[in-house]
Amino acid sequence: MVAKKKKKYSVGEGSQFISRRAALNKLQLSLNDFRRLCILKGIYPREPRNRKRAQKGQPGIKTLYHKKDILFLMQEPIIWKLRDYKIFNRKVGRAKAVKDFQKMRRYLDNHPTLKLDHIVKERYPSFIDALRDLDDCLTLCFLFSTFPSLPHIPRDQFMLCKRLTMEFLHAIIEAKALRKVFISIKGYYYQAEIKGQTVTWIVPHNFSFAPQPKQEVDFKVMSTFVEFYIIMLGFVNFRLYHSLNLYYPPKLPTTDVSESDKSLVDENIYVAERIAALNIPLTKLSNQTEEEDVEIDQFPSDTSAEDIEKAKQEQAKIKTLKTLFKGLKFFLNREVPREPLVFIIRCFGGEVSWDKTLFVGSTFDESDETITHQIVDRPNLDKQYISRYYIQPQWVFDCVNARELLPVNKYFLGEVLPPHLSPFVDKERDSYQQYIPPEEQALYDPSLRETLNEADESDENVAEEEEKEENEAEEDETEDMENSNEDEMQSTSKLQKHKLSVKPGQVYKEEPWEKTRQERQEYKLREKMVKNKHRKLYKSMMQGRRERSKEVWLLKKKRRLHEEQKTKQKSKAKQ
Amino acid sequence: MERMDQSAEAQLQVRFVTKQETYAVPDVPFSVPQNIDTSRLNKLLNELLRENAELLKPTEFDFLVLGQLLRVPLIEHLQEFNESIEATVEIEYVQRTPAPEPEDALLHDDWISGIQVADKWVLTGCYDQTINIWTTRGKHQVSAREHTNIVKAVCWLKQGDPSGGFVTVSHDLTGIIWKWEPSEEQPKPVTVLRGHERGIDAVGVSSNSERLATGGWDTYLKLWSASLDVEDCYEPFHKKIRGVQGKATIARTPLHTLKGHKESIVAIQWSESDTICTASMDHTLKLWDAELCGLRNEVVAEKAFLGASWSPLSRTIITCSADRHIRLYDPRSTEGSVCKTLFTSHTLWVSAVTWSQHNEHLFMSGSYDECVKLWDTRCPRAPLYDLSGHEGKVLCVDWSNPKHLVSGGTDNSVHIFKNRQFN
Repeated sequence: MVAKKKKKYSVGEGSQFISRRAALNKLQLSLNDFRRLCILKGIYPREPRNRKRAQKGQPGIKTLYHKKDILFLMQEPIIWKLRDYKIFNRKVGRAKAVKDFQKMRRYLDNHPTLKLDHIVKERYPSFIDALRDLDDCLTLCFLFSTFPSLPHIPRDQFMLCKRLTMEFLHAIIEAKALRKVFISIKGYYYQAEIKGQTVTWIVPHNFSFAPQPKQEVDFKVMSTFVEFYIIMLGFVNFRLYHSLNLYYPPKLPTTDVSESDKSLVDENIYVAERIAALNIPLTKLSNQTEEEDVEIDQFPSDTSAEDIEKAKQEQAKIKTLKTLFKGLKFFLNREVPREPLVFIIRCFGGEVSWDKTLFVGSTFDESDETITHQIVDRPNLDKQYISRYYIQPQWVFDCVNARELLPVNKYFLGEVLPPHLSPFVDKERDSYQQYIPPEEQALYDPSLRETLNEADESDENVAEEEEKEENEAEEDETEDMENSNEDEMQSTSKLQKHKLSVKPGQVYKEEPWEKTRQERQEYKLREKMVKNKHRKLYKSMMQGRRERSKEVWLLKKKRRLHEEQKTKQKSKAKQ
Repeated sequence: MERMDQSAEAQLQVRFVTKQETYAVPDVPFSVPQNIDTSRLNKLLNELLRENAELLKPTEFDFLVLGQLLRVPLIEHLQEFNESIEATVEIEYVQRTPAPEPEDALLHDDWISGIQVADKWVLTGCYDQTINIWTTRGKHQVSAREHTNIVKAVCWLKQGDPSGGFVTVSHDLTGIIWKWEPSEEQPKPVTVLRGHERGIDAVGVSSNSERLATGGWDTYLKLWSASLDVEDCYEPFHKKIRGVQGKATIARTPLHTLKGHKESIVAIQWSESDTICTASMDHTLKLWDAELCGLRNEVVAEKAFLGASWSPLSRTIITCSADRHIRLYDPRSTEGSVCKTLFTSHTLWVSAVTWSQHNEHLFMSGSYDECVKLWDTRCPRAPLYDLSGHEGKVLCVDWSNPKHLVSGGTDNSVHIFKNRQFN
């Protein structure tokens, strides 16, 4: 008997990957449905090591998925729901065409819905896994909560996004989990620490939604993501609230409200509005006292004393951070962005209020005597109380990042504010891999602060100094020429073929670049000795470094040009 | 205290000391400006000498501060050694070594690989397989061709005495001991030293002229008897070697073969009649015991050696390596590093160095950058004099006769410089 011939691509990469069209054929889904399914399940196309083998010898570039992923998808019960939805559409269409509106309405009332709970459990088996992926979820939900209704996107998604994000913010306020904030062009960056995991999200600025002229962003794809994320965020919120001993869905403490108010407004909306105000603490499940301070255990053998010291210091810092604004009462003026400030101030224990006519939930008036700070964003204000500070909103953010109450005098009305430095700076990376602005460097190194101040003053003297240096260089050259003596002895006629001469010896001056040149040569030799299997990694590492340092250089250049322009303007203004 | 300058420059206290009684000055501290240099110190000293002891003409002095010759302004010199400028600085002055004068140039037919002077005879080995003997005045006396490959090194058997014969080694795997009287026309080859398996690069004769050592590319150091007596060998009569001129010359086998080096041996010198120092391209300097035929001491360096020389006056070895520095080693030192000083001034590899026979501080070096330099060990950063004139690489230098500094190179010429100190 002839042995079975081994077919090409039956083992190895060829058998591991499957193209998109083949996957569609296997799953019997349309492309849109397949896309939706992949987004919901978290399956992405993969880049193979050898494309020719993975594509079984076919040319071109195809979208490739792992075969095991597609087999996994085949077991998913949602597929039936997607197929049911397809059939449902067909039925509705037929009913509409035959003008059987009763049937159509019946179908529409019993439309198939997608249940994604099991997917959330499958993708995030533990709470910590969900926290790790919470960044993207939060950012997208916050973004969608600012949208109006868009075509082809279910309307309740926006409402759910709004509700869920507010609930999450309440949870952060109760847990006092906020650590870093930053204002940027993209929006407000927040970083919170939940159960040891760092969660960072962006809240966009309050601009009105501008419909896009070109179809650059596919909102349908984004809405599929949001569909999954709102389920996930709901679960996360539930878990968070229970760990903080709060009722979920959130309940407000019962207050005496007049009958007329209650009758006018629907109770759900009433509660939702007040929750959105973020100003009222929620009711707790049980009145448990706060957690006592957990002491860090001492393990003298494993960790060094330094590390333990550092951890202790961090803990102490965070403890003081939690009560940063305790006892302070803030009043927000009309023009100030209300939501971020309320969130931050309440996170750190402060009390805040605003004008009654602006939004629901204001607790005290502008004329309250016990207000300590009023946050204003105008150049000047007519009526000013003496007992309170009038400051610009950046003070709040800078205080949080500095982890202490900064002196208020730099943030008064009409003052030029100090630069808003980003707290998302990795202190371990050196200055070539990360751009650290000179003001921030001055914070770390007080000696540099003086140079910063001096730099402003000495701009005028620079031109004079340059002229002096040029003159000195010329003088040095002439002196060197005079010093070299040449003692030439006369040559006899016999020696005319070979000009023998004697000169006194010159002192050997060590060139400073000789050493560096030698070191560079040795470094290049060591680079060549990197093993083959590490070579790719080394190359990509060095390339990454080069790119980062290039970015830093660009930023430094921008800064330099900006400063030069400023000095030019100053000198022009003087003239 | 006498003041030299009334300017507002910082001043230093100095004291003059000397070992030569003819140039003594009173031992009083002087106050001199900080950045005073050799020429101004010379003027000062000459003025003092004129006051104290009547000298007919002004002499040039060299100043030693902290054991090194002064070549930069005084304050820089002191700062290099981190000396405090508060204390009185002791400056020792000696008469400056006079500059050598160019004397003669001897033109050959090919590159000169080995050279040695005895009395007034210059013996050279050439790449065209001949050996030549010239007088120091420039007259060509003898040319002999016995080797069948390039002659790499030559050496007189008795130092300073040309009538004791000489030995030449070559890349034809043999060395030849010659007998020659200054009045004769042609030297006679006495024996052929047969035993090396590859070309021989270096030869050294012991101070009592009884033994000689050769080393080459087969990395073995072989010891031979250096006697001109033909009978002093063990080869049977029928194993004679046919010489080039048809006359049979008797071969001689080595007394001992010393193994140790891993690469070619470039320089051999006997010290104290029972120690041989060899330098090799395997980055080591080895000191062998000739009686017991074993290794005594070893100095390991970073670069391959190209030449070495041992001085009986200072008992140190200077070496030149495959980089542009000349290093001074003291093999007996136990403290600190064995390399005592680094001399840097050449721009390319230094190919040959040799000590002076009369002064413990002077040596000369020749390099691939066509320069021959005269150095003082007390001044590592600048040579005393640059003797230029070669138009090709300098391959060998010699100073066996204190009166003449000779060098030979790839421009087919031997240059002779007169040492004015000995005239």
